[in-house]
Amino acid sequence: MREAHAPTAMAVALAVLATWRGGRADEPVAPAQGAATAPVVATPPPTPEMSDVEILGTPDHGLHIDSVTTRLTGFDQFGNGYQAQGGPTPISPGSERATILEPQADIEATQGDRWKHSIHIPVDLVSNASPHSVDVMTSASKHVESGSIDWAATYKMDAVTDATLLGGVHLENPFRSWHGGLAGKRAFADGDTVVSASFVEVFDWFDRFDIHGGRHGRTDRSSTTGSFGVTQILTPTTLVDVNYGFTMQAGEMGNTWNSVPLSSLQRGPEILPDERARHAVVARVAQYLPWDGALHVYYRFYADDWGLVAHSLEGELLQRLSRSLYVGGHYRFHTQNGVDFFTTLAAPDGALRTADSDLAPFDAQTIGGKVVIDTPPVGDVRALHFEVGYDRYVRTNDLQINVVTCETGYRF
Amino acid sequence: MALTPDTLDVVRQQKMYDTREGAAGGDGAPAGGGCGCQ
Repeated sequence: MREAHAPTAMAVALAVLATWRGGRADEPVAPAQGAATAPVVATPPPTPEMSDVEILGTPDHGLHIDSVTTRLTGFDQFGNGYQAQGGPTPISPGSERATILEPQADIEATQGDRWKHSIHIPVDLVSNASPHSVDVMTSASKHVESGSIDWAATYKMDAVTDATLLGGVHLENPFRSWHGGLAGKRAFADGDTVVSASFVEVFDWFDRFDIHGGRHGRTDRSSTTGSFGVTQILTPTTLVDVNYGFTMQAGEMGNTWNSVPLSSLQRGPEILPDERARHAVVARVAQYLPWDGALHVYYRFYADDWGLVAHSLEGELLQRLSRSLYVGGHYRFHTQNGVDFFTTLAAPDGALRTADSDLAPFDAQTIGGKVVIDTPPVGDVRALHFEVGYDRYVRTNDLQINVVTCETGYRF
Repeated sequence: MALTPDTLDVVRQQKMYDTREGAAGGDGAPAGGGCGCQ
């Protein structure tokens, strides 16, 4: 990446050499041809006016990679849910056992003075014991591989205004999804206040299964999200952000293979509305602590027209131990009341019903920590970043996850 | 001092919650209930 700056350096060097080739200002000017016999009075040549390009070189509009970050995360999940088959009886909850390996890469790049690109590439390798009914019946998705490419290109319109173009695609065995959107932000009051807004459209296109694992063509779903936020510097050590978002979804709202235990001691398909309107308000606070620490607090309120209301509260404490080492710990509490039509034993009458444990009433807690090392510059690399962390996620409706993650980053 | 200090850490946490909590989504990110990737 360092070589990418070579043209600029070369242009500066050539510009300097060009002034030398033009002669020195204190040398007499050579007589013009044909005027050799005429007496010449040496006069100082006019000082050449140099342009910015001659002094600084031609602006380089090439792509410069500023940082590359990779993260590898492993999830080990245990638990049971009523949407899954495979329990001891047809109406018993089935296993939600799964192991997931998730590599990610993030590339940050700049292009000229105004463009910034963020490219994010996550991959999921999922091994399911049988979290989904189709695994029990056919093993059709016992192993799932999926990947995405997300790209955000931000254009600096002026000193206080940015506009971002978003796009991405997600590919998975029975599932395709792509999204696009626009986002913008503008700073006021010398940057103390930043107002932002975004619009994102997501289109999902995926296989339709029945609860016995049979495929029945394809179905789709669209999600339209608009959000508005304000970030405010309250004091030199306090930063606050508030954001409201609204999402309208339409189409097939389930994964199509979830099942519901019925009072007839059989299982039937999940029956969901074909639209969902979702609201969320998020507040974040970052506070610097005078003993080289920082406190992050996050609160989120959520409500939708399926009757689901949720509160999430999270706190993270970071403490620097030396110039290149800091540690962090965090705790999150989430509670939700469940959708109006959640049941673990439904009447076989065709009314709205779901037994999905993700839509049930439950409380969830996450506790975790991390160790981070940021090394001084090494060669052409301006900073090296190493991080290792662990999270434990526990839900009151029988789901537990151990998460181990590690990250390596290079800033050029 | 940043509100979200690490992009990939935020993304992996958000994805874990999006795919396991029915109340995920609706706050500027693509709403939950989507892929079966986790």
